[in-house]
Parts: sequence; C-alpha cells; structure tokens
Amino acid sequence: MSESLGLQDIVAHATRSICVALHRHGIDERVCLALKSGLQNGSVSVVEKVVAVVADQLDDEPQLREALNQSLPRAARVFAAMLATDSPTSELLLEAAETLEMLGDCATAMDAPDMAYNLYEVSSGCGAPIDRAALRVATLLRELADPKNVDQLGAAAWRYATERLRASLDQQSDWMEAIDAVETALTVWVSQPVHQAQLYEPLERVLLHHAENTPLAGLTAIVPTQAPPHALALERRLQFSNVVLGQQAPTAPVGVSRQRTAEAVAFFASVKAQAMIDDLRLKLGGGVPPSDTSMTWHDLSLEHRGLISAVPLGRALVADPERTGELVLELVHEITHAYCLLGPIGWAHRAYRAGISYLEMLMAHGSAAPTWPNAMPTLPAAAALLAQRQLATLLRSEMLVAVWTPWLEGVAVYMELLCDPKDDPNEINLPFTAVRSLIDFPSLERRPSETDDELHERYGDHVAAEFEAFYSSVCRRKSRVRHLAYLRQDDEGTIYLTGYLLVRSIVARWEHTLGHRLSPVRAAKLLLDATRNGSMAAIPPLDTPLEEFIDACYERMASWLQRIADLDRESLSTFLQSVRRHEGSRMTSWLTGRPQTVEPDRTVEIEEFTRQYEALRDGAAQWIFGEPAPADPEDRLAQHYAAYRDLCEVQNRLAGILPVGRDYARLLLGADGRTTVCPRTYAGIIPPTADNAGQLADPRYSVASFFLQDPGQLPELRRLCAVLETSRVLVTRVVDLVGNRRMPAGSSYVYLGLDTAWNHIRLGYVGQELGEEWEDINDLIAARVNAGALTGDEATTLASLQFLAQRYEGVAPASGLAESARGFDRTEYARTVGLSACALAFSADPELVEKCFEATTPEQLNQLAQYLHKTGWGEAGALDIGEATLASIVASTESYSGVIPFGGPA
Amino acid sequence: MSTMTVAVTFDLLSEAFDKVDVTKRAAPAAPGGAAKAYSRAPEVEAAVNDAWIRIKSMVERCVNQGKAIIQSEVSAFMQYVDSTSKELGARAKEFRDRLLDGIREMITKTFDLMLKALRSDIVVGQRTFALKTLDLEQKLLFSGSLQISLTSLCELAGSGELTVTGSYEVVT
Repeated sequence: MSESLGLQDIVAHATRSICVALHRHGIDERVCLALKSGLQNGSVSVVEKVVAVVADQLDDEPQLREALNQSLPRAARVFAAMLATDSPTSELLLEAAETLEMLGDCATAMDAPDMAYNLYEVSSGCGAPIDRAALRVATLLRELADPKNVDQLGAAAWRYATERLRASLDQQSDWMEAIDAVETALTVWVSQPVHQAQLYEPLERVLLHHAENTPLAGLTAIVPTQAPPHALALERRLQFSNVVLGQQAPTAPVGVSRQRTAEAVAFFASVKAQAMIDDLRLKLGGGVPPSDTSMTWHDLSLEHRGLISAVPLGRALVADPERTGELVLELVHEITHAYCLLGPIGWAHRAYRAGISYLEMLMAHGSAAPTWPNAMPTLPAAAALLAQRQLATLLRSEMLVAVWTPWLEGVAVYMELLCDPKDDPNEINLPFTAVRSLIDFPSLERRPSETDDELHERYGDHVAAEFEAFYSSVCRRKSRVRHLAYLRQDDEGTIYLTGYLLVRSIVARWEHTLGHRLSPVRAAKLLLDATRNGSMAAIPPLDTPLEEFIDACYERMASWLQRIADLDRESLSTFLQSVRRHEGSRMTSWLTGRPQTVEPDRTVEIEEFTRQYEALRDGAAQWIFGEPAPADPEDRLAQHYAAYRDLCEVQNRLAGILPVGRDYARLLLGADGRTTVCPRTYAGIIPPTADNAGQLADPRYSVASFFLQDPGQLPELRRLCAVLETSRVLVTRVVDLVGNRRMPAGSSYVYLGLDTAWNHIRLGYVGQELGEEWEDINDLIAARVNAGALTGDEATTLASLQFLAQRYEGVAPASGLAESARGFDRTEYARTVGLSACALAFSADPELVEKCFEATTPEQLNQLAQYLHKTGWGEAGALDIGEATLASIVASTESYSGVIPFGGPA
Repeated sequence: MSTMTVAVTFDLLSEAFDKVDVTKRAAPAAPGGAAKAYSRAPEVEAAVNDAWIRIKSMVERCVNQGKAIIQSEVSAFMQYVDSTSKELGARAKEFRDRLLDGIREMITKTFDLMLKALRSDIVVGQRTFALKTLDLEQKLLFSGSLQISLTSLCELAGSGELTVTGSYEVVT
C-alpha cells in the first residue's frame, strides 16, 4: 500500500492512525483533533502542547507516556520536512522510517494492532527505497496482518522475506530461516500486479547486491524463476529460467506459439529450481542423518534413511535395481511387520497401549479418578494407583514385545531374503502388494475393441510382471549379501538369526510333512496367515498376574509354534493349494488351531473370532480397571469400559493404515490456478565419484511434481500458507493394509496436508482425487497421518519404561515395580527367548544352544549365512559342521531346505 | 651398511590384522575434514567383514605356502570381489574403497610392527652405535588398485622375511 503513496499521503495516513489509536485508548477527542492538526501541519509547538495534555491523562502508564513524549514531537518535525519536499533525502527517509516505527510501537502499546500495522507499513515503505534494514518491522507486520486478508498477508510475507534475507546475508547466519521466508513469499504473492512488482524488486535487489559468495548465491537465479506473475517481465524470467535449466531448456516446437513455449519453459524451470532449493536446504541442514531402518511397535512408524524427506512416487522405487533395490527389500521387511501386527499379537499390544492412553487421560482429568472404578481410593492415593497401573501395563506390553520379537523378525527376514513373488504365478502376498502399490505404473493404451475389464486385467498382468521382474532380480541378487548382514554376533544379530532359524525349522517341518520342498514364497503365505490370523491362542489372557505374565507369553508362543509345526498334511495341502485365476479370495479360519477354508459369509466363525477378540481386549481392560465390566451400561465403570473399547477400535483401525515416507513439499501456486506440489522421491544414493568421497552413500532425490486439479482452492491455499508461515505441505504415501469398501487391501493413497487446516488425498500419484463419497476413508487416513500431533513424542513418554517409572517414583518412592521396569531390557530378553525357542525347535539342550551361539566365530557365522542362503534357494550348501557347533545344531543335509525340521531330526 | 632380516610370521601379521578394524564406522567428517563418512549400510558392512575374513585366510595361506600361490589366490579373491560388487550395486564402490583402505592400513601396520623389532641402537664393546639409515629391500606398493595392493600384501606375507639394510654410527 505505502509504496504507491506520496509523502503527503504517508503523513496523513500515519497521523490518522496514531490519533485513532489514542482516541480508542481513552484520550479526549478534542485533544486528538488538535494532535491531528499539529502533525498534519508539521507544527512542533502544537504537538508538544498536546503531548503534555496527553501525558496528564496517562498517569498510570509511564512507559507509554515516555514513548509518546519521544515520538510525537519527533514525528511533527519529520512530517514538516516531508511536507516541504517532493524529493526526500536518504537521511529524511531514514528518520521518517524510524519515527513511524516508534509510532507503531506506541499504537501496539495502546493495544491497537490495526493502527500499529498501518504505521509499521508506512515505516517499511519509507525505508524500502534506501534499503533500510528493518527485520523487526517486517516481523511485526507479519504478526499483525489480518489473517483473513490474503493481500495484506502476502505483502507482509514479502517484506519479511526481504528483511530476513538481508539480515541473514548481513550476519552470515540463519540461512534456513531466510530460505523459508523467501519460499513463503514466493507462494503467497499479492493480487495487484503493480504492488507485487514493488514488493518483488527489493528482494531481488538484496539478492543481487549481497548474496554473491554466500550459501544463498543460487537463490539469485532460482527466485526469478519462481517469481509471482507480473513481478518481472517474461523475457527477464526466461533469462533466469535458462540459467536454471542449463542445456535442458527446450526450444519452441513447430506449431506452438512462442508465448506458450516461454510459459512452459518458465514452469519447467520453476520445478527444476525447486530441486535446487531442496538440495541447498539439505546441504545447509547437514545432510540426511544416519538412521537404521525400523518399525516402531507403539505406533507402527516406518523409519528409513531413504524416506526422510522423501516419498515413493512415480516409478522411482523401480527405476534402477542398482540404486533402489535395497530400499524395496527393506520395505517388504518392515511392511511384513506391520501386516503381522494387524492380528491378535498387535491387538494385544494395542489393548495395552489404549489402556496406557486411557489412564493418561484419567490422570490429566484428576477429577475423574475418584469416581472410577467403583472402589477407587481418593486422591492422592488414586494418582499413585493410576501411575502404578500405567507403568505395569507398559511393562506387560514390553514383555509381550520381547517374547514375539524373534519370531516376527524371523518371518520378516524370511520374506526379505528368500521370497521371490515370481515363484508364485497365481498369488501375491500382501507385503508385496503393498510395496507394489507404492509404484505408479503408467496406464496402458486401450486396444481396439478392448473392454474395460479386459484392459484392467491386462494392466494388472503388466504391473505384476514388471514389479515381479524387478523384485525378483533384486531379491535373488542381494540375498547372499543380506544373509551375511543379518547373521551377526551382537544381541540384535542373535535375535534375527534365532528368529530366522526358527522360521526355517518350521518350514522344514512342513516340507517333511508334505514330502517335498516348498518354495519360500508359498511357505510365507502360510507363515503370514498363521501369524496374523491364527495366533489368538498364542496370547495369554491379558490380565494374567504380572509376575506370571512373561512366562505365560513364552509358554503360549512355544505351544503355538509346536501346533503350527505339527500341521497335518491335509491342512497344509489345502491351504497351499493355489487360488485359480478369477477365483475370489478364500477365507481361512484358525478357530480349530489349523487353517480351514470357510465360506466368506460363514457367520459362525466370524462371531466366534469376534468373541475371542473381545475377550482378549477386555482382559486388558479388566487389568487396567481392576474389575470386570458391570452388566449395567449406566454404571460409571461400564461407561469407562465403553470409552476404552472405542479407543481400542480406533487404534486398531489406524494400525491398518501405514504411512510410508514423508516430505514437506513445496507448493507452487500459479496465476493460472494451477497448483503444483513438488515432493521429493528417493532415487537411490549419490553415485560415487572421485570428488565426493565425503558424501558417499548420501541419498539422492528427484522432484516428482504434480498438479492439484481444483483451481478454486488457490486463494484459500495462499491464505493458509501466509497464516501458517509456510509454503510447504506435508506429503506422505499411505498404504491401506486392510482394505475398505472401495479398494482392496494393499492399495495406496497420496496424502497432502497443510497442518490440519487443509488436506487432499488421491489414489496414487496420478490417480483420481477422493471425492465426498470417500469421506470416511479420507478421515481415517487424515487421522492416521496426523495421529502424532495428539500423542506427541510417545516413544520417549508413554511408550518409555524409563519415563513412566520415573513418574511413578514421583508419587510412590522406593517402588519395586519402578525398579523392575527400569531393569527390564527388552533386547536382552528377546535374545533369551530366541535362544530358548531355537533349543525347542532343534530339540537341543538350551545351555548348549547358548554356548554355541556365543562361541561361533565371525567366519563360522559367514559360512552359515552362505549355507542358509544356498539351501534357502533350494541349492546344495556346503558347511563345515563340526561337533557341538551352531551348524551341528541347526543344519541337516537330509532336509529339503538344509535345516533340521522343528522338533528335531525327522 | 648391514643387512638385517625380520621373519614374516603369521603371528606378526595376525597382530597387524588385529590393529586394523575395517568394520569401524567412521565418525561423521568434521567440517573441512577429509575423513570419509561411510554409510551404515548393513550390506556393505557385511560384505566388507566377509571379504576381510577371506583376506586374512588368504594371507595365512601365503605365509605357509609362499609366493607361488599368490597369483591364483589374488585372482580368486578378485572374482569374489567382482561378484560381491554386483550384489551391492550402487554401493560397490564403497565396498571396494573400504577394502582398499583396510589393505593399505594393513601393509603400513605390518611394516610398523616389523621395524619395531629392529634395534635402534647396538652396543659394541664400550661404544653405542645408533641406527642412522634404513633401506627396505622390498618394494612397497600403495596403489589405488585393489588387486595391486592385495598382491603387495600377499607378497609381503609370502616372502617369509623382510630385508632391511641399515647403517649405524657411533653416538658421540
């Protein structure tokens, strides 16, 4: 606004603003009018007299009084000088800017933010031509801008970006803040072309004059390519676009106008520029931190170095097996975990987790405690009881995790190392479907007279073939070296190895029962189903006394392992029978302890399974609340039960949605209504060269830009970006592991969200946006993606034994429970479970098993890894077995897949 | 000038192997530092460990059987390196770099240990002679080629002894 005002206008505008602020603050109207007259006429003496009167009325506000005493007479002097000239000197403009800033501060002190905004704006306008450093004013303008006024927000964002950039370049610091500010400004441009050009020009000037030889030098070429429409002439924009694109700049094709080509080049350059900004941010941020691939139990978060600030999009995952093969294998491993935890093992864990959250809510609302349960003591004894129960619940949960970790790791390692989907021409296991859904295969051209069904079927076959060819080559090529990687001597390595050997022994037993080798991908089908759906009996009642709980967990798991190992030939054959093409999916019931195919609408099995689930969940509730659920639904405790059950349901539903990767991706908002999102996608590692020794194996990204379809969203998006002070939306890809009424299990969606104020979900990268009829699915995905906002950093709070133990000790010092909780080492216990389970699997003396694991040399482990690799793929493996060695316990040349069947030699 | 020899035993080489840790994960490079920030890729870790175990066995065989087997041993090992490199894909360079670093360090450590065995001074009658010059008879090859470096290490192991020519002078 101020940029288009003359000096007289500025004086009038400023005078009006300060007088309105004073009047609102209770200063007499006549005094205000006198002040207005004095200021507008530049009369220092009048203003000094008025200030004396005003001061009398501000007895109890000495600071404000002092500020007005200093600023108003100065304003009169400066305004007089401004009114007396048409060409102000730099000194006058500087003094005007400073004085107007002081008046803005006075308006702020009088609680008149709108008037303060006016005064800061004219201060900024006076300072702009002389490049006055004004970060403080720009920051205040940004804070005071009307959140409903897009243009005001936009102008404030531009001023802030210019000043933030100037300050960073001047002080050689806060580079990221400067980039954030510039990106936000580029996103929330103002609608008036002249005003926008006036806002753009100082920013470009700061870059041209100060950015050379600084980390932000690249912005000099990048910013013009993303500049708002009308901020600079197309010719000039093209000059910078060509700099950014280098040799990639396309020339005008025949038949396309020069203007259209120029626009296309400008757009292309803006996307390329975004990749450059993202690389700059990565560099300034110290690169991608090293991190291990993992899946958390408490909230099923998938961590991977290739998925930090990156989302699988397009064909990036399968672009080159050399570069992305490792990530794909690791995704299959982690998604196998997520899938296995959708059944009773995960339900039990989440029943405890819901209990911990519920107890937290009760603690947060202390008033609820005395009324629950019916026999609840009064505070503060109630607080101690709640904290004690919460800690004990987490300890149980950790015990459950420790017992199941070796098996679950074993299944995931088996899937990753030996399962080639190509080996099963008719079926595909869900972890493969899920990973496949993260790849956007291009659609096929319809053949003449091809029906929709035929096209879909051909597309399905094409996608399956392409994915399987990729995966098969990666899996087979990397299997040996990944065997070597998993067989290590540390505690974690022992857990992987014991779990893997356990799985191999079960499969060996099935092979023995069937009388032939099983291809691993077929065996995995049964392993996954048994673990996810057939493990109800493997979980003890969740209210088993704490001191018996861990043994009960192990006993149940061991019995379950024995049962699945002992599956009879008929059950195995029936289950493993291939599903024929076009045959619907089969439903398997494990109610009898073995897999039985049942009709999909068999309500008896479903009802019984539901009953068992409810009993499992209510076991946890009974432990948490201390009493069984009352029959009377009006009873206070019954209401707590109902709320707790709802919480369990929510957590179970959310567990079926798995976010894979996340990136805060840049929004490019175009004048033509096109909204482009530029998320990064992992493209392997940076190829090593002689020059980048220090950057070996850093992730490499490509930008996967795509449009949002609805141009009507543009103004609101601009406003939200300005209010939230960001130009970046959260982009993640979520896989639905359960399926819904519209899409089968293993489908994926791309989620975009601007805080919780706006979101947009689409089927895949280039697929359709979810319309209103998808509302429930949309809500579920949004709830899952934003779940972290509610739970906070759960890993270090409610899911941490140390945290809860410390808190419990605060209300119950010298507690034995807190000591036990602190001393519980999940990894160590999981290792012990793995070794015991191996002793069971190979009918060996547990002490001997432990001794052999400890005594195994790295050389022997590597030999065993190569033996397990060979035999796993059905080849003969050579192994120096020796006496009383790990190899002598587990290996069998008689067995179909090289490992002694579960229960000992056949 | 006197010629001295130090026997190359597997005990000595084994001690040098113990001093070289190819499995170490280098700390992130300090700003401006030249340290290589190797990744934590488990595949590379595992492949390097396995290759190092093979190198150790190969060196032991060279000590026992002499230079005659070096060519075939190195050739077989390089085939293994090539096939593992294919398994590792884009990470193959990191694998080879780490092996090369390990072999170079191993050669250095071996020489350090051998030279430590030499006396820095000798006493003849009432006089003390200090070591003044030292020349190694063996050719030291610090090559950027994994094959040449490995051959150099194996030749050192297979030679059975390290020949050093030195001269002493009276300490004044």
